[in-house]
Amino acid sequence: MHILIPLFLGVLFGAALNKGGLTQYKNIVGVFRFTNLTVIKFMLTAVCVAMTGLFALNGLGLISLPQPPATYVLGNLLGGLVFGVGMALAGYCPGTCAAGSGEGKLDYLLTGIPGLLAGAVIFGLVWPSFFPALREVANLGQVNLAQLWDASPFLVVIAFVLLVAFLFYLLERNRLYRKDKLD
Amino acid sequence: MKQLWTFISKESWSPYAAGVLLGLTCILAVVLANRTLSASLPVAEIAATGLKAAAPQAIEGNPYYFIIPTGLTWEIWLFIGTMLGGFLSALSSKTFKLRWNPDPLWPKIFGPQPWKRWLAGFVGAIIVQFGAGIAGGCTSGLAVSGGMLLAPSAFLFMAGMFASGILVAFIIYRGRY
Repeated sequence: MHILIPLFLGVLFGAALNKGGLTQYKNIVGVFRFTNLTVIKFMLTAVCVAMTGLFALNGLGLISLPQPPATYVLGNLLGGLVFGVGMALAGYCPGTCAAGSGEGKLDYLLTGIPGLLAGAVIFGLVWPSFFPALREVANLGQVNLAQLWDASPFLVVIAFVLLVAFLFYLLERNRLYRKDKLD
Repeated sequence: MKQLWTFISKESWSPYAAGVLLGLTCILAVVLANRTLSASLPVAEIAATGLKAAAPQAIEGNPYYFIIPTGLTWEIWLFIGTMLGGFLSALSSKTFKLRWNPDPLWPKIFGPQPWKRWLAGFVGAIIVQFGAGIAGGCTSGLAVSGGMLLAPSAFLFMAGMFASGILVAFIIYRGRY
Protein backbone atom coordinates (compact mmCIF):
# COMPACT_ATOMS: atom_id res chain seq x y z
CA MET A 1 0.00 0.00 0.00
CA HIS A 2 2.72 2.46 0.87
CA ILE A 3 3.97 2.14 -2.69
CA LEU A 4 0.60 2.70 -4.32
CA ILE A 5 -0.07 6.04 -2.63
CA PRO A 6 3.10 7.82 -3.85
CA LEU A 7 2.73 6.18 -7.28
CA PHE A 8 -0.86 7.38 -7.54
CA LEU A 9 0.02 10.90 -6.37
CA GLY A 10 2.92 10.93 -8.83
CA VAL A 11 0.64 9.95 -11.71
CA LEU A 12 -1.70 12.85 -10.92
CA PHE A 13 1.29 15.20 -10.59
CA GLY A 14 2.80 14.09 -13.90
CA ALA A 15 -0.56 14.29 -15.65
CA ALA A 16 -1.14 17.85 -14.37
CA LEU A 17 2.30 18.87 -15.70
CA ASN A 18 1.62 17.26 -19.09
CA LYS A 19 -1.88 18.62 -19.55
CA GLY A 20 -0.86 22.07 -18.33
CA GLY A 21 1.89 22.27 -20.97
CA LEU A 22 4.61 22.53 -18.33
CA THR A 23 6.67 19.85 -20.05
CA GLN A 24 7.27 22.09 -23.07
CA TYR A 25 10.40 24.19 -23.47
CA LYS A 26 8.50 27.04 -25.12
CA ASN A 27 6.15 27.45 -22.16
CA ILE A 28 8.92 27.46 -19.55
CA VAL A 29 11.09 29.94 -21.42
CA GLY A 30 7.96 31.91 -22.35
CA VAL A 31 7.40 32.95 -18.77
CA PHE A 32 10.93 34.39 -18.56
CA ARG A 33 10.30 36.30 -21.81
CA PHE A 34 6.79 37.41 -20.76
CA THR A 35 5.44 35.97 -24.01
CA ASN A 36 3.57 33.05 -22.44
CA LEU A 37 2.40 33.06 -18.85
CA THR A 38 1.34 29.41 -18.56
CA VAL A 39 3.79 28.74 -15.72
CA ILE A 40 2.50 31.63 -13.58
CA LYS A 41 -1.15 30.70 -14.12
CA PHE A 42 -0.52 27.02 -13.42
CA MET A 43 1.64 27.50 -10.32
CA LEU A 44 -0.38 30.20 -8.64
CA THR A 45 -3.66 28.33 -9.27
CA ALA A 46 -2.18 25.21 -7.68
CA VAL A 47 -0.87 27.17 -4.69
CA CYS A 48 -4.24 28.91 -4.14
CA VAL A 49 -6.29 25.70 -4.41
CA ALA A 50 -3.93 23.75 -2.14
CA MET A 51 -3.60 26.49 0.49
CA THR A 52 -7.38 27.05 0.64
CA GLY A 53 -8.09 23.32 0.97
CA LEU A 54 -5.36 22.64 3.51
CA PHE A 55 -6.03 25.56 5.83
CA ALA A 56 -9.81 24.92 5.63
CA LEU A 57 -9.40 21.20 6.48
CA ASN A 58 -6.96 22.11 9.22
CA GLY A 59 -9.33 24.75 10.61
CA LEU A 60 -12.09 22.13 10.74
CA GLY A 61 -9.76 19.90 12.72
CA LEU A 62 -9.71 17.19 10.04
CA ILE A 63 -5.99 17.21 9.25
CA SER A 64 -2.76 18.48 10.74
CA LEU A 65 -0.50 20.50 8.48
CA PRO A 66 3.01 19.33 7.59
CA GLN A 67 5.90 21.51 8.73
CA PRO A 68 6.63 24.22 6.16
CA PRO A 69 10.07 24.07 4.49
CA ALA A 70 12.74 25.94 6.44
CA THR A 71 13.38 29.59 5.72
CA TYR A 72 17.02 30.68 5.60
CA VAL A 73 16.70 33.90 3.65
CA LEU A 74 20.05 34.08 1.86
CA GLY A 75 20.09 30.39 0.89
CA ASN A 76 16.50 30.30 -0.35
CA LEU A 77 17.11 33.36 -2.48
CA LEU A 78 20.54 32.26 -3.74
CA GLY A 79 19.23 28.78 -4.52
CA GLY A 80 16.38 30.31 -6.49
CA LEU A 81 18.84 32.48 -8.44
CA VAL A 82 20.96 29.44 -9.37
CA PHE A 83 17.86 27.38 -10.15
CA GLY A 84 16.47 30.01 -12.53
CA VAL A 85 19.69 30.01 -14.59
CA GLY A 86 19.40 26.27 -15.19
CA MET A 87 15.69 26.41 -15.83
CA ALA A 88 16.00 29.12 -18.49
CA LEU A 89 18.81 27.15 -20.13
CA ALA A 90 17.27 23.67 -20.07
CA GLY A 91 13.58 24.55 -20.14
CA TYR A 92 12.69 22.14 -17.37
CA CYS A 93 12.88 21.63 -13.63
CA PRO A 94 13.13 18.25 -11.85
CA GLY A 95 9.36 17.56 -11.86
CA THR A 96 8.74 18.56 -15.46
CA CYS A 97 11.85 16.65 -16.52
CA ALA A 98 10.36 13.48 -15.01
CA ALA A 99 6.94 13.99 -16.60
CA GLY A 100 8.45 14.97 -19.96
CA SER A 101 10.63 11.84 -19.87
CA GLY A 102 7.44 9.81 -19.57
CA GLU A 103 6.06 11.50 -22.67
CA GLY A 104 8.90 10.06 -24.71
CA LYS A 105 11.08 13.18 -24.80
CA LEU A 106 14.52 11.62 -25.02
CA ASP A 107 16.34 14.90 -24.40
CA TYR A 108 14.57 14.96 -21.01
CA LEU A 109 15.16 11.28 -20.24
CA LEU A 110 18.69 10.78 -21.53
CA THR A 111 20.32 14.16 -20.91
CA GLY A 112 18.02 15.82 -18.35
CA ILE A 113 17.74 13.04 -15.78
CA PRO A 114 21.50 12.23 -15.84
CA GLY A 115 22.18 15.98 -15.49
CA LEU A 116 19.93 16.20 -12.45
CA LEU A 117 21.66 13.19 -10.89
CA ALA A 118 25.09 14.69 -11.62
CA GLY A 119 23.95 17.96 -10.02
CA ALA A 120 22.77 16.05 -6.95
CA VAL A 121 26.11 14.23 -6.62
CA ILE A 122 28.11 17.47 -6.96
CA PHE A 123 25.87 19.20 -4.42
CA GLY A 124 26.19 16.35 -1.94
CA LEU A 125 29.97 16.27 -2.21
CA VAL A 126 30.49 20.02 -1.73
CA TRP A 127 27.69 20.31 0.87
CA PRO A 128 29.97 20.30 3.95
CA SER A 129 32.14 23.11 2.57
CA PHE A 130 29.45 25.79 2.47
CA PHE A 131 25.91 24.69 3.25
CA PRO A 132 25.94 24.53 7.08
CA ALA A 133 27.32 28.09 7.18
CA LEU A 134 24.90 29.39 4.54
CA ARG A 135 21.93 27.91 6.36
CA GLU A 136 22.74 29.93 9.46
CA VAL A 137 22.41 33.28 7.68
CA ALA A 138 19.04 34.85 8.55
CA ASN A 139 17.64 31.46 9.56
CA LEU A 140 14.01 31.77 10.62
CA GLY A 141 13.37 28.03 10.90
CA GLN A 142 10.21 26.23 9.83
CA VAL A 143 7.97 29.25 10.03
CA ASN A 144 4.99 30.42 7.97
CA LEU A 145 4.01 33.95 6.99
CA ALA A 146 1.06 34.05 9.40
CA GLN A 147 3.36 33.30 12.35
CA LEU A 148 5.93 35.76 11.06
CA TRP A 149 3.35 38.56 10.82
CA ASP A 150 1.45 37.41 13.90
CA ALA A 151 -1.72 37.29 11.82
CA SER A 152 -4.54 34.79 11.40
CA PRO A 153 -3.51 32.18 8.80
CA PHE A 154 -7.04 32.28 7.34
CA LEU A 155 -6.73 36.01 6.78
CA VAL A 156 -3.37 35.55 5.04
CA VAL A 157 -4.82 32.79 2.81
CA ILE A 158 -7.85 34.91 1.86
CA ALA A 159 -5.64 37.93 1.11
CA PHE A 160 -3.28 35.79 -0.99
CA VAL A 161 -6.10 34.19 -3.00
CA LEU A 162 -7.77 37.57 -3.63
CA LEU A 163 -4.45 39.05 -4.74
CA VAL A 164 -3.86 36.19 -7.18
CA ALA A 165 -7.45 36.41 -8.48
CA PHE A 166 -6.92 40.13 -9.12
CA LEU A 167 -3.63 39.40 -10.91
CA PHE A 168 -5.31 36.79 -13.14
CA TYR A 169 -8.12 39.23 -13.89
CA LEU A 170 -5.60 41.87 -14.97
CA LEU A 171 -3.61 39.36 -17.02
CA GLU A 172 -6.64 38.13 -18.92
CA ARG A 173 -8.37 41.46 -19.35
CA ASN A 174 -5.42 43.51 -20.48
CA ARG A 175 -3.52 40.68 -22.18
CA LEU A 176 -0.47 41.58 -20.16
CA TYR A 177 2.04 39.62 -22.16
CA ARG A 178 4.40 40.49 -24.97
CA LYS A 179 3.93 39.34 -28.52
CA ASP A 180 6.47 36.65 -29.42
CA LYS A 181 8.82 37.95 -32.11
CA LEU A 182 9.47 34.37 -33.20
CA ASP A 183 5.88 33.39 -34.00
CA MET B 1 -18.68 9.78 -18.72
CA LYS B 2 -18.02 10.37 -22.39
CA GLN B 3 -17.69 14.09 -21.82
CA LEU B 4 -15.25 13.47 -18.99
CA TRP B 5 -13.08 11.30 -21.22
CA THR B 6 -13.24 13.89 -24.00
CA PHE B 7 -11.84 16.39 -21.51
CA ILE B 8 -9.19 14.04 -20.10
CA SER B 9 -7.98 12.98 -23.54
CA LYS B 10 -7.43 16.53 -24.77
CA GLU B 11 -3.77 17.21 -25.53
CA SER B 12 -3.65 20.32 -23.38
CA TRP B 13 -5.86 21.92 -20.79
CA SER B 14 -6.16 25.49 -19.71
CA PRO B 15 -3.29 26.12 -17.26
CA TYR B 16 -5.92 27.07 -14.69
CA ALA B 17 -7.60 23.64 -14.99
CA ALA B 18 -4.27 21.80 -14.79
CA GLY B 19 -3.31 24.01 -11.82
CA VAL B 20 -6.50 22.95 -10.02
CA LEU B 21 -5.54 19.30 -10.57
CA LEU B 22 -2.07 19.93 -9.12
CA GLY B 23 -3.58 21.83 -6.16
CA LEU B 24 -5.96 18.95 -5.41
CA THR B 25 -3.06 16.50 -5.70
CA CYS B 26 -1.10 18.54 -3.14
CA ILE B 27 -4.08 18.38 -0.75
CA LEU B 28 -4.44 14.63 -1.34
CA ALA B 29 -0.74 14.09 -0.54
CA VAL B 30 -1.23 15.68 2.88
CA VAL B 31 -4.54 13.88 3.55
CA LEU B 32 -3.36 10.43 2.44
CA ALA B 33 0.26 10.47 3.55
CA ASN B 34 0.90 13.69 5.51
CA ARG B 35 3.60 14.52 2.98
CA THR B 36 4.18 17.10 0.26
CA LEU B 37 5.03 16.62 -3.40
CA SER B 38 8.67 16.94 -4.39
CA ALA B 39 10.91 16.24 -7.34
CA SER B 40 14.42 17.39 -6.43
CA LEU B 41 14.41 15.43 -3.15
CA PRO B 42 13.75 12.12 -4.95
CA VAL B 43 16.60 12.94 -7.36
CA ALA B 44 18.89 13.64 -4.40
CA GLU B 45 17.84 10.33 -2.83
CA ILE B 46 18.45 8.35 -6.03
CA ALA B 47 21.90 9.96 -6.34
CA ALA B 48 22.71 9.26 -2.69
CA THR B 49 21.55 5.65 -3.00
CA GLY B 50 23.69 5.14 -6.09
CA LEU B 51 26.73 6.80 -4.53
CA LYS B 52 26.42 4.76 -1.35
CA ALA B 53 26.40 1.56 -3.39
CA ALA B 54 29.04 2.49 -5.99
CA ALA B 55 31.56 4.60 -4.06
CA PRO B 56 30.94 4.47 -0.30
CA GLN B 57 34.43 5.83 0.39
CA ALA B 58 33.59 9.07 -1.47
CA ILE B 59 30.87 9.99 1.03
CA GLU B 60 32.50 8.75 4.21
CA GLY B 61 32.21 11.29 6.99
CA ASN B 62 30.01 13.58 4.92
CA PRO B 63 27.06 14.50 7.16
CA TYR B 64 24.85 15.27 4.12
CA TYR B 65 24.46 11.54 3.57
CA PHE B 66 23.05 11.07 7.04
CA ILE B 67 20.30 13.57 6.24
CA ILE B 68 19.28 12.22 2.84
CA PRO B 69 17.39 8.92 3.05
CA THR B 70 18.49 6.14 0.72
CA GLY B 71 16.86 3.03 -0.73
CA LEU B 72 13.46 2.76 -2.40
CA THR B 73 11.90 5.64 -0.49
CA TRP B 74 8.40 7.15 -0.65
CA GLU B 75 9.82 10.04 -2.73
CA ILE B 76 11.42 7.72 -5.26
CA TRP B 77 8.06 6.02 -5.86
CA LEU B 78 6.55 9.47 -6.24
CA PHE B 79 9.18 10.29 -8.87
CA ILE B 80 8.48 7.05 -10.75
CA GLY B 81 4.79 7.91 -10.54
CA THR B 82 5.50 11.35 -12.03
CA MET B 83 7.19 9.76 -15.04
CA LEU B 84 4.32 7.30 -15.32
CA GLY B 85 1.84 10.20 -15.11
CA GLY B 86 3.53 11.96 -18.01
CA PHE B 87 3.43 8.68 -19.96
CA LEU B 88 -0.25 7.91 -19.26
CA SER B 89 -1.28 11.51 -19.85
CA ALA B 90 0.50 11.55 -23.22
CA LEU B 91 -1.08 8.19 -24.09
CA SER B 92 -4.53 9.55 -23.27
CA SER B 93 -4.10 12.26 -25.91
CA LYS B 94 -2.23 9.92 -28.28
CA THR B 95 0.81 12.22 -28.19
CA PHE B 96 3.32 9.76 -26.76
CA LYS B 97 6.27 9.52 -29.11
CA LEU B 98 9.97 8.89 -28.66
CA ARG B 99 11.76 11.97 -30.00
CA TRP B 100 15.07 13.73 -29.50
CA ASN B 101 14.36 17.42 -29.80
CA PRO B 102 10.63 17.87 -29.58
CA ASP B 103 10.29 21.62 -29.25
CA PRO B 104 9.58 23.82 -32.29
CA LEU B 105 10.98 26.97 -30.64
CA TRP B 106 14.44 25.62 -29.79
CA PRO B 107 15.85 25.31 -33.37
CA LYS B 108 14.82 28.90 -34.14
CA ILE B 109 17.26 30.10 -31.50
CA PHE B 110 20.03 27.54 -31.42
CA GLY B 111 19.86 25.99 -34.88
CA PRO B 112 18.92 22.44 -35.84
CA GLN B 113 21.95 20.59 -34.35
CA PRO B 114 20.59 18.25 -31.67
CA TRP B 115 23.84 18.17 -29.65
CA LYS B 116 23.30 21.79 -28.60
CA ARG B 117 19.95 20.85 -27.11
CA TRP B 118 21.45 17.89 -25.28
CA LEU B 119 24.36 19.93 -23.93
CA ALA B 120 22.12 22.77 -22.73
CA GLY B 121 19.72 20.22 -21.23
CA PHE B 122 22.49 18.39 -19.39
CA VAL B 123 24.29 21.49 -18.08
CA GLY B 124 20.97 23.19 -17.27
CA ALA B 125 19.86 20.14 -15.29
CA ILE B 126 23.06 20.14 -13.21
CA ILE B 127 22.53 23.82 -12.35
CA VAL B 128 18.83 23.26 -11.61
CA GLN B 129 19.48 20.42 -9.17
CA PHE B 130 22.36 22.29 -7.50
CA GLY B 131 20.14 25.35 -7.04
CA ALA B 132 17.35 23.21 -5.59
CA GLY B 133 19.86 21.77 -3.13
CA ILE B 134 20.89 25.22 -1.91
CA ALA B 135 17.32 26.52 -1.69
CA GLY B 136 15.92 23.43 0.02
CA GLY B 137 13.63 22.31 -2.80
CA CYS B 138 12.53 22.94 -6.37
CA THR B 139 9.45 24.34 -8.09
CA SER B 140 7.28 21.52 -6.73
CA GLY B 141 8.88 20.77 -3.37
CA LEU B 142 9.54 24.37 -2.35
CA ALA B 143 7.64 26.86 -4.53
CA VAL B 144 4.27 25.04 -4.68
CA SER B 145 4.45 22.80 -1.59
CA GLY B 146 6.00 25.55 0.52
CA GLY B 147 3.81 28.30 -0.94
CA MET B 148 0.65 26.42 -0.01
CA LEU B 149 1.89 26.27 3.61
CA LEU B 150 2.68 30.01 3.49
CA ALA B 151 6.43 29.40 3.89
CA PRO B 152 8.48 32.58 3.30
CA SER B 153 11.19 30.39 1.75
CA ALA B 154 8.84 29.49 -1.14
CA PHE B 155 8.35 33.13 -2.11
CA LEU B 156 12.05 33.97 -1.74
CA PHE B 157 12.86 31.03 -4.01
CA MET B 158 10.29 32.11 -6.62
CA ALA B 159 11.65 35.67 -6.60
CA GLY B 160 15.19 34.40 -7.17
CA MET B 161 14.13 31.95 -9.86
CA PHE B 162 12.23 34.51 -11.89
CA ALA B 163 14.92 37.19 -11.53
CA SER B 164 17.74 35.03 -12.88
CA GLY B 165 15.49 33.21 -15.38
CA ILE B 166 14.48 36.49 -16.97
CA LEU B 167 18.11 37.65 -17.09
CA VAL B 168 19.39 34.43 -18.68
CA ALA B 169 16.54 34.31 -21.21
CA PHE B 170 17.37 37.90 -22.11
CA ILE B 171 21.04 37.03 -22.65
CA ILE B 172 20.21 33.93 -24.72
CA TYR B 173 17.54 35.52 -26.89
CA ARG B 174 19.07 39.01 -27.21
CA GLY B 175 17.38 40.76 -30.19
CA ARG B 176 14.76 38.04 -30.34
CA TYR B 177 13.81 38.36 -26.65
